[in-house]
Amino acid sequence: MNAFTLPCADLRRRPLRTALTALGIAAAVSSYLTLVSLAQGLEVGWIASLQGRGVHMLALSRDTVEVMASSLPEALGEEIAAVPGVVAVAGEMANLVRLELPGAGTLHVTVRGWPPDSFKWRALPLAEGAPPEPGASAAGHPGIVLGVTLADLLGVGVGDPFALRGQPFVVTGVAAPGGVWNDRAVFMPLAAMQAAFDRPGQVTEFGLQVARPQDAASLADLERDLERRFPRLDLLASGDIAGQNDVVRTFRAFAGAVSWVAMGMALVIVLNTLLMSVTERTREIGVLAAVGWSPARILGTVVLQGLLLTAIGAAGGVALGAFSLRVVLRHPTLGGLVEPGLRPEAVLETLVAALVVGAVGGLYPAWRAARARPAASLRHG
Amino acid sequence: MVRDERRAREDPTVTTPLAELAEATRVYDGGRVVALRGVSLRVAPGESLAVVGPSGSGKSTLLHLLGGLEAPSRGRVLFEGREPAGPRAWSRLRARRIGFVFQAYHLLPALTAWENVQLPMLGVVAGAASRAERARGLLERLGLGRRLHHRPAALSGGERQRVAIARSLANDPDLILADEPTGNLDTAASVEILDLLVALREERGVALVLVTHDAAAAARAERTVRLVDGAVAGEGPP
Repeated sequence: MNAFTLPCADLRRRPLRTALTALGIAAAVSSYLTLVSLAQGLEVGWIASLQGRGVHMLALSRDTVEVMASSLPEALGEEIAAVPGVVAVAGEMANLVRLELPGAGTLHVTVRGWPPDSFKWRALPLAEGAPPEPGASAAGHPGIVLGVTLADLLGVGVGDPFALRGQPFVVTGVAAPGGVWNDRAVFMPLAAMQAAFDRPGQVTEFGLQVARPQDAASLADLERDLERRFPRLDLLASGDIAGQNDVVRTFRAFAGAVSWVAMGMALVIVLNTLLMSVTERTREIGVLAAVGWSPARILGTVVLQGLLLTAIGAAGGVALGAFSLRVVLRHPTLGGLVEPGLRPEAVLETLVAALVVGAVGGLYPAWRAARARPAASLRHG
Repeated sequence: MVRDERRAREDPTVTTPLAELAEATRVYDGGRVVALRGVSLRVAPGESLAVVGPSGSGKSTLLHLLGGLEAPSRGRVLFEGREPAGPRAWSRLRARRIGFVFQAYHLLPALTAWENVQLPMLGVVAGAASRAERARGLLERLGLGRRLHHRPAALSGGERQRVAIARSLANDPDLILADEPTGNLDTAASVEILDLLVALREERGVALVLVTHDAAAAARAERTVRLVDGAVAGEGPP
């Protein structure tokens, strides 16, 4: 016999109640894990999309909330390229558009426009075909490259026609840059995109390649230098952009709030079950006091019971959460924005949150049990 | 009282009582119910004492006070001449020096007989193997060697009370407080349990306070205290 024997025996004594409580905790833990994973997946997807394009730093118009709403003159790129420490600059126009998938609803995809000489074209790994030539293709329409997932979803390949905003294009290549954002993106010449979106001479951002991308101090110095030279720009290292983006922040805050509501429900479930358990075991708690258990030991055994119950629920919740995440990411819109997969840090955060909930939920019933007067408890029932 | 303590310190032939009530009063319900009124009682090391009296005379309350399960409303409860300082001190005493046996056995139904006996040892006896071995020895001594893994629901009344006695002996106490230990048993089982308690007391030199309203049970003790309406109405040999 050890400290776990009594809490385990009590959980086994009421198997249905234990199972239902664990199920409730599992549902809450699963919701928490799914939301945390979605928030992290959105962030990771965005960062991967930048890194997949060989970008070390982004330049956006200052104080813009949403990157795609940023607007800068294309000509500014040459001035930025002249700053020491900057190796290359590529203007980019980015936008999010809705595509109709035959028989499968709508799909949100990013469209990116790059100048023909941009380093981003060189960094884009093509699975087949070639980057579009400036101007019209042999078919008389501008060329585009599709991300490999998007090409599969649409069932189109090199040489096929493609319509965007009602305008005809021709697919000249299929790229596999990696990351959920890039693999579902449309890449096209900047001039064609400016024309398609009625924004001539404009870009949304500049992607910068720098001399020493791994040196954090050097990156920070360059960032300060660029902000001093160009006060209308915000400079962001690519690893920071997701964290500093208001859309990601808002989603993260929303996911955080909802996930803590789920954990609050788990706390109430644990609290309710343990209160019932402690109440119906009043006499047994008196017996524990009579055989010399200290109030601290009685408190500890009830808290331990709460932790065990939560651990069972959390284990089920992680499995359920992994399944839920797969189901949720089948949705075409979310699937295009969130990097799939269950991350160890999300699982760890969920388990820690669940155990905190278990301990906190067990404290009040445990305190009630520990402060009970032994003689009165023995007379109970 | 102070004079008695001083005398005990000065005269080595006067033994310090193991447990003692000094003018102990216990009231409930804001004083409307008086369970014990000014009771003084001493339990010497190794002695056996029967507390008798009609139902509601305060016998169980007296036992609870002696074991620190509740505190007196007035007066004092002493263990080896000292007043334990609060619930924690009483918990330590109950864990190491005092064993309880109840009329209703009060075994934990989710645990086996073996686990029930190990319950008081948690935090007192180091090592799960030592606890298990000691509990096995006690249960075998009490004739329950083949009932180790049975839960209380699978045991007879007499067997349950033997498990409860084994539990009370788990940490080798100096004092056993038995509250109507034969109250739920038939005659044969009662005799068996009383024989066991008397034998264990002699074997281990443990003091025994036996609350009972059974004259035959009281006759097995060396001394009897009679309670009526919460006060001592008489004291002497059985």
